Amino acid sequence: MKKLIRYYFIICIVGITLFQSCDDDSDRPVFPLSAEIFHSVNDKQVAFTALTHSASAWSWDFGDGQTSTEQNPVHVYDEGGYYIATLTATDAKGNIATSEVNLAIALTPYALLTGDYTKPGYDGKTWKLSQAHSVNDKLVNSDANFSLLDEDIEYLPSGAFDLYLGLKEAYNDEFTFYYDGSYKHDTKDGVSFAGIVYAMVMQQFGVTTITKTGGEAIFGADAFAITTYTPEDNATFVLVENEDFPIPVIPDFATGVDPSGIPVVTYPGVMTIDFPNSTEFIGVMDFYRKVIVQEITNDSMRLVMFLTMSPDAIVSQDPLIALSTTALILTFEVVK
Amino acid sequence: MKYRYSLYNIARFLFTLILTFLFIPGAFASDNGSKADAQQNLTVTGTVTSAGDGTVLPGLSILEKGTNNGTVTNIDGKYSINVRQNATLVFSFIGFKTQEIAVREKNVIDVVMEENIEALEEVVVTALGIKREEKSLGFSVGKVGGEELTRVAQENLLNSMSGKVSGVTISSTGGAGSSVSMVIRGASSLSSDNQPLFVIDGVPMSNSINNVGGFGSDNRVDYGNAIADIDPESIENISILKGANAAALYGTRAGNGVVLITTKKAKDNQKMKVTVTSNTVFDVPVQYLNTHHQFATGYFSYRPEDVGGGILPTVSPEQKSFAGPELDKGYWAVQWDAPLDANGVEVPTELVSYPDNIKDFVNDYAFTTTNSVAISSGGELINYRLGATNMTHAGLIPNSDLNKNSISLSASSKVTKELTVSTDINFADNWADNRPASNRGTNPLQWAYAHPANIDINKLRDYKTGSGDIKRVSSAHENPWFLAYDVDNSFRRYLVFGNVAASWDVTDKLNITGRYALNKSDEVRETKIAPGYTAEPNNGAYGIYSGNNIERNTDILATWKNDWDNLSIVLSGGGNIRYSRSSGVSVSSKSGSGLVVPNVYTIQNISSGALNYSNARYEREVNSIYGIVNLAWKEIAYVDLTARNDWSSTLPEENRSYFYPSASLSLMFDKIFNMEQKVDMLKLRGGWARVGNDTSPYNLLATYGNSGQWGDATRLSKQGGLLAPNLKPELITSCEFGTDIRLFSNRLRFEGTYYRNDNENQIFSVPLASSSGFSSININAGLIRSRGAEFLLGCTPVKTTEWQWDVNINFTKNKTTILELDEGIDFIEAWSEGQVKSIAYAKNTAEGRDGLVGDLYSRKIKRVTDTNSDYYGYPLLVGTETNATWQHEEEYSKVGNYNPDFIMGMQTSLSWKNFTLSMTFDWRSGGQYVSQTWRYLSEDKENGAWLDQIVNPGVLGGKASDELRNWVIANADKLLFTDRPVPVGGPTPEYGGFPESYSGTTVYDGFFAPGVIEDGNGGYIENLGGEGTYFLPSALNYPWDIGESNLFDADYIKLREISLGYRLPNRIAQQWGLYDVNFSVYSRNIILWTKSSALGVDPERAYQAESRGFSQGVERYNVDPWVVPVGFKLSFSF
Repeated sequence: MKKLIRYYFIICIVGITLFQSCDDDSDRPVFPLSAEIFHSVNDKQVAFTALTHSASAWSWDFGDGQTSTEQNPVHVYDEGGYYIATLTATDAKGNIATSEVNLAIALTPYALLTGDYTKPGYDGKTWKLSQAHSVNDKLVNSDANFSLLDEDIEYLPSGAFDLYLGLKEAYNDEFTFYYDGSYKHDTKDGVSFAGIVYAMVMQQFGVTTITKTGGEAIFGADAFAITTYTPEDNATFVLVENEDFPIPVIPDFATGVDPSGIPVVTYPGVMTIDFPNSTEFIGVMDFYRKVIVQEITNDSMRLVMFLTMSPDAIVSQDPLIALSTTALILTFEVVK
Repeated sequence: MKYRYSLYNIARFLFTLILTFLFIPGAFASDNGSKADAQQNLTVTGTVTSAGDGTVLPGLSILEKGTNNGTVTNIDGKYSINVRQNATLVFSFIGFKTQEIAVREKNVIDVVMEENIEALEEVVVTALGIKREEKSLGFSVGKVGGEELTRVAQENLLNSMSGKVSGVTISSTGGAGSSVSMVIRGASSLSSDNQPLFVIDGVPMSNSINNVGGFGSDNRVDYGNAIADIDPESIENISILKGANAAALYGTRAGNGVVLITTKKAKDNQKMKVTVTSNTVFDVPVQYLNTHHQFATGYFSYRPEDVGGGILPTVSPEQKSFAGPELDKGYWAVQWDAPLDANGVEVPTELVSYPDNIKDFVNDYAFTTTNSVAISSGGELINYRLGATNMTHAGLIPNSDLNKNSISLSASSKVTKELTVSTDINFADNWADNRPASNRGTNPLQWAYAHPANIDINKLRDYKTGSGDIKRVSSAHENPWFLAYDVDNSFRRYLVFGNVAASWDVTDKLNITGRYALNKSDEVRETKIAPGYTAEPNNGAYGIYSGNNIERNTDILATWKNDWDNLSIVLSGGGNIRYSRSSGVSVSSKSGSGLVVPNVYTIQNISSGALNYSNARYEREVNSIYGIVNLAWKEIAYVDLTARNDWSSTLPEENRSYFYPSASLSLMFDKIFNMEQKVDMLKLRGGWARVGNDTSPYNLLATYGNSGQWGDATRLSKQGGLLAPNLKPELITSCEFGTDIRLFSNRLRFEGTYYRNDNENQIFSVPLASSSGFSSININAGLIRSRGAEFLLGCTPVKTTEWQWDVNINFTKNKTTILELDEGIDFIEAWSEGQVKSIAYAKNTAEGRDGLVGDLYSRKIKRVTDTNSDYYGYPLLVGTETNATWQHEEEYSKVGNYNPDFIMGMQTSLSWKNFTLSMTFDWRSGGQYVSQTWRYLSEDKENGAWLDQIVNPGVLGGKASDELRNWVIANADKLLFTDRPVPVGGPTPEYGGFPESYSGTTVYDGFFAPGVIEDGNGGYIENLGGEGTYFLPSALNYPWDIGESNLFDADYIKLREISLGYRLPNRIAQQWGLYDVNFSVYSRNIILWTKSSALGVDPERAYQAESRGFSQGVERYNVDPWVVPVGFKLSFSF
């Protein structure tokens, strides 16, 4: 009797062990030697990461005379400027693979925006709207915290203006900033991306013509337009690294009023770009042209552009005063 | 308080009764024993053999009549017993005629036992528990023996009947512990769940499958049906009264058939016997859904060459589509939970796949162990059997369980020669600390499958971050481990049922039996959701439901029998009073409203505005009288007549009385034509019956319902539907014909039955014009007809002393057609899921409606209808550049039916010496189901089967060309005229992907929908692969709007049971003092073949749990892994 029970339990236990031992180890593929560099810049400190397959040794030349054999070195440059860092990866058989990266270290936002003017053939630095977007690209209210316009749209997915609005022309315009403060805008196709209310008003004034609208499928009403635009010659831009920036907004979003009694929200301590005394803009054309720079690096920058999405927010026709209702936070990338 | 008092009384009563029966036999036994001792002065020995083949009979019981003195024969059939000189010995053995032999001072008594032919002439339990010889029945009764139910352990007893009985459809709605549906002879009611009535030892138990509960947002939990509380180990046999003919005596509740369960009892003069059974099964998962792990999340499948560098754009889990960069290619990208470099910036890592994510999430195996012990004994005065069973189950989903303790006692005592009193008492305690949720929402498997292929799921295992929220891959994802451990759906159900009966043989011919039966259940269900579930963002949720049901039945039945030369007659008359009451209280936080402080699960912790509360109770009483006449003439002809009248409290006074008669005839042709030499039985039978059905309580007059609080105001509302005070009972008229044939000493058996049921006056809710002030009205209407055939073919091809092989095949075919609905109703819609609707239309040949119950309708692909066009029949696409995909027609057309065409079951059992190999197969042919899992996983591009279905254009991929267009047209049957749209292209160049630039980067992950677009001038623009074809990213390639894309055939063959048993020879067993030692290894419910989708959804599980109940023919995340169970069973007696 005892024997029987013991026998029974032994079978059970054997059963359990059998089931557990059939775990199969998945074999990862092995790739030939390759090397890529990932890096990040914080003031003069650059953290390098070697992304390599099959490498057994790494050697770095930071471009300032210093070197390292760590896989992921952190290097602090003594002086700001443009550098080229090179990675040489070696595998067990002695094969080598190299990769290099251009660095712009400790540069001012102005330098990042306008590029390396000392380079031969310098012709400003050209930016365009990133069609890939990023998780930081959002459609928000123009309130103090940039709260989401629509809780369901947490960020703009890749190709959003094309896929969801059908306005792929939005991505075509190129914007060039020059070290001497001049600004050049190339629409490429004669049309630009604009807020619908602004575009309608301008069309009423006979200034421009709307060629396309989009947004009904997503928002229930059109929100954006593609409209004709002729860039201005001899435009200039002004970059302010740090200022308190007030902008007229609908009363719900206001944090105060300006001297003339118009409700405003003030963004303290922000970097801005403005295009004084011209019709020029960057990204999206609307009543307000001054934008906030949230982040700028050598390859990309993220701007906040203000929009007036409701005709009710036009509080005065003459002078034309439109209160901002909405803002677009968009990433721009360098055109190479 | 009053109610508690009465419960206490019942408990006290039962306790006393149990004590009485436990102790009385002992007292009697010792008493008799001491008297007997003094006079035992003769030793009798002998050998017992079988008259049939002369073999010895071990284990046969021998009892000195009138005492408790007894023994059993040993392995050689020998016995030895000390008795009084004038004693009489009683020799009894199952399957043999009991013999009484007077000792008369003999020392050696050898006995030859004769087989009990009557025992082989099967006796079946029929309505009201009356045992009848099978040959005398004019209708078909399905039978399942107790050993059939326990050969392989199943958590729900209904599963043990799958494939074993014709005319019965048994379907699991989910994993272990879920409700199991049993439908007899097809669903005939459009408003109920069509479940049969269960009667256990005369105690009725309804077995609704609508047990979906759970509190909180999208937290749907199937708590399983009440029949699962029955312990299969205590079941002697089951009779299935399939049609109204068999069940007419159950009146109102007979409409869906009746399942009669008789529990095990001790046999007369049986010595004390203890039986121990231990049963353990491991369910080892072997197959998961066919999801791919080839691509990371994302909408574009970038490659380094597309982005001009080795590092790909950030791979974000928020982009839930599994259509991102290909994995295991050595690509680099910043991913979720990326390491940080010295500057605190996320560093790219290699994109690798984690193919074992689901496997790592679920447990290695589910484990069920069922252990039971039963004591039984029979003496002159009292027979009793006491059984106890414990079941413990740990599920595949982490932290899921199911437990059951049950105790059953049955006892009977001959108080006097004429009076027998008996009782059956059962107590079951079922509970689970956590039942996993199903459907969408808190279902852990849903989120395990939604987990990105490029992230190791084990990173989520320790989900508490200590910072308020729990670890998740994105705000759009739930953590499956959190759902498994911190969304807690517990329940506890106590069930007490039993009866007390007395049977009085007034004279030889007259018997009066009275019985009082009680069935009482109490259930508490509780949901605790901790903070961390996105749909309950305010500190989680809490809810508690507490309900109880009671049903009392008081029956009395008088039976008078008389036999003349050729005619025998049985007259019975009786009455029944049924009273049932049900009540429940439910309190919870409103969906999404949450708790005041987290982790405190009390009602007080729900702010008053967030409180959802309700209670309900109902009572019903049905009084009945009935009569039965059984006539038998010369064992040739048998006639049964029954009549019953019910008075139901739920119907208006003038309609509350309804009468149902039934008549059946059985003719034995073998006897009529004296074929007895060649034919064991040739029987023709037929019958007609009518049964009625009342309605639910309180369906006559309007009552006020709770509408919650508005500020300080309590709101009550009248229901929107108008109730009808003049409802009539539903009426089912049934007739059936059949034949039973037995040949070659029962080695070839055939049973066939044809039936037709007409279900009239169904109670429907018909929509009303809103100007009436009501949304709908209840009416009696309609005619629904079920027709079907059932066959059973049994055969014993091999039968020798060592070998025996039995094969039983059963076949079921049923068609239920709606012949009439009411004028006010065009159709009844059961559900609408995945662009498919389950709609019941009345039969109308002119309109092309076949009227079948279970029809599925969908809108087909919109096509070019201009017969003059070259593009006639081509899909007509939505004509926009960003959305050039298929669209559907306006009209719905029939695309399938969720009921199978036929069901076939096969049982085979092969025994050799002490080994027995048994198998049960279940084949369902025909029928369709909607797979929402397929739809969602395909839309998210996670479905590996869908990835395989996308048409790879091979060398023609990568660009638009005339060759491609011509190839599409050459393959028009496959690409253009199919009902299931197929995209051409794929996620990478290897799949024939086409270039698209929606991300601003040209990526070769495009596809196109072959078809044409209207040009607005009556012509068409081609989208066939030539120049101008719109290429869209693969992330968009699923035809979401076309219902037929997610409609699949439900055909399957399952191996319901396979068991290899070994019976230890008694001579070995006796060395341990044991007998009946059996050991078996088994498995169960293995899918052998299915026509279903290549995704790996079990089509049997096409029951979607919704808060209103189950939707048949559709499943959504009912995706437990397919398992191969390995079970072990050991049983012995001493």
